[in-house]
Amino acid sequence: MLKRFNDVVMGATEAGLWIGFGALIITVGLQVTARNVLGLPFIWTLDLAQLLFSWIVFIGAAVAYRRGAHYTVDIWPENSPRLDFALRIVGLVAAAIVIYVLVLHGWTLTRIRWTGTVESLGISRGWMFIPIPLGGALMLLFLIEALWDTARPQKA
Amino acid sequence: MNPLVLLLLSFFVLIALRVNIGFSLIISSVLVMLTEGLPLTSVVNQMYSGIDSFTLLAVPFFMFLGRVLNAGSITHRLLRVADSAVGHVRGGLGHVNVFVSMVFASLSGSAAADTASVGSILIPAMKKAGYDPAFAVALTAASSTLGVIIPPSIILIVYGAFGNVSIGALFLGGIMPGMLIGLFMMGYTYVLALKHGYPANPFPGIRSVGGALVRGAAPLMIPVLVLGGIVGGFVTPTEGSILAVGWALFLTFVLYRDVPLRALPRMLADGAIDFAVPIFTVAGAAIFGWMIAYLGAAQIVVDFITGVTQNPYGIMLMLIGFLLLVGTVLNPISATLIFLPIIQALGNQAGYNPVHMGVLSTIVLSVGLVTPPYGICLLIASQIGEVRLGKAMLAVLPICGLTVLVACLSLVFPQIILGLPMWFAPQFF
Repeated sequence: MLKRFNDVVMGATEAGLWIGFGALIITVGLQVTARNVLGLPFIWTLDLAQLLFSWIVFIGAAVAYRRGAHYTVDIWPENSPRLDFALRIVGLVAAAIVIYVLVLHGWTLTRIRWTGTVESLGISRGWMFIPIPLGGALMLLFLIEALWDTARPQKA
Repeated sequence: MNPLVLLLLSFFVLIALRVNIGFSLIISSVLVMLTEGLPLTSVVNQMYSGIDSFTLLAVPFFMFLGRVLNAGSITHRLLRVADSAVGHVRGGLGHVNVFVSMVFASLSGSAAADTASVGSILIPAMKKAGYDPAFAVALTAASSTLGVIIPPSIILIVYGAFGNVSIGALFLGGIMPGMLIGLFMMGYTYVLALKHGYPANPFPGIRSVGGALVRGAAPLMIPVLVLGGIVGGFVTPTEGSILAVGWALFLTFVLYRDVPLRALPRMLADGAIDFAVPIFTVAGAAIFGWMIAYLGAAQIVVDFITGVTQNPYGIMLMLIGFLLLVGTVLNPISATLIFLPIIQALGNQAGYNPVHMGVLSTIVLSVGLVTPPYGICLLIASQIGEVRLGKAMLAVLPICGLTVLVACLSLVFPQIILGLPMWFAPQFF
């Protein structure tokens, strides 16, 4: 049930990521054209590019967490299920700490920045920071699934 | 416990426990911030500040470029160019391997993309032609590290953006040492080919060479666009990267029609994940690097090294040894960001130019891409070649030695790195 729900969330997030990345390419492409061909420096393209960039990085990092795509260093021997289980537990605890920092302190930072404005886009500066707690919340969803997966074979 | 010791110790313990590098950087920083009584909101604030840079936007575009090049026929076209240029020399496939990596390096900034694409074609071909499989794997992995030395290079972009050094000058500085390392690798291949009787491909004839060049001409416009634009001052690195992506997309989807347009969303989604991971690690490295600076580590390391030796060569050799060591466990982007203050402080102390220091540290850190436990290029190549990592590691050591040799040579002959930037971009000096 949880896996199926997360599959749907993952699908929607990946759709958001490709649209966001496509928009990022178009935004910076527009800036190059405007500055070098039309001689019109667009300030809003810089801010929009930065906004899209931070959203893709923090939301993408959560998707990468579920895909197991983050960089790890493996120095332990293979074929040791007990060691593997212990290392997985350490990994889950570490993820929980990072999620705590991203969600709680990311949200605090977003609230602090909410009063500021991105002049060129006419939006609150908080929109630049909100992907930090959102990415953390998404990671939490995937962490619960990983916890469930880790606990299940132990019960059997 | 001394906070600096706690920071470094907790980081290395965490990565040894298979916690991913980005998380390890954040957690060890959090630990020290708690003991120092600093607010944890600073963690996320510094993480955001670390990626709040327009220049850093070039990283996703150059990484995506590698994905676009591999999706269609561009890599095959470049392979044909390389084969007609050097395939007929003794040890032909080995030379093609190095040559195509040099060309690929001038198009994209990603070493792992090069290992995967070139390796999947050339490693089986080299094995079939009678090359030692461990050598085929080692050469593929080592030559693909040229991707982070020859421009456009993601590591040089990060160094320039955070170290306040001209990226155009760094790009120019990476060309000569990158080509020199490539030539040394080809020389090593030639010696082995003579020793083991590795074959040469027959010369395909002038018409065939001309045909390969014509078919490869359009993708070879990319380095002209990027380097010419940046060094000529027409575009910023980020703008240059988007021009290159635009051109590669046009070639793949419109001119060559290698890939159907419906494949683009999947490519974009995977491309987004491709760069989200290293940039998230950069965000983690930003807070960790900030802690290193806050705790005054740069001065401690400088004092320690200058306490051992005052000789500029001695200082630089100790730095090279240090970077080789950290490169084994950290990816080059994180290592550059974290140790940037130390690299720059030691460079100042030894009297080396900031452009020299940026390129030198990138060359040395590139070795970490093929040394365990974090030798991602060697891991990919060994999987493709079905060679045990231990055997591949032994085969890669002499090739890594060539890279370190060029780094050391640049200490005595700084013109290896500074020659081109001083010639073409004297305004940066």
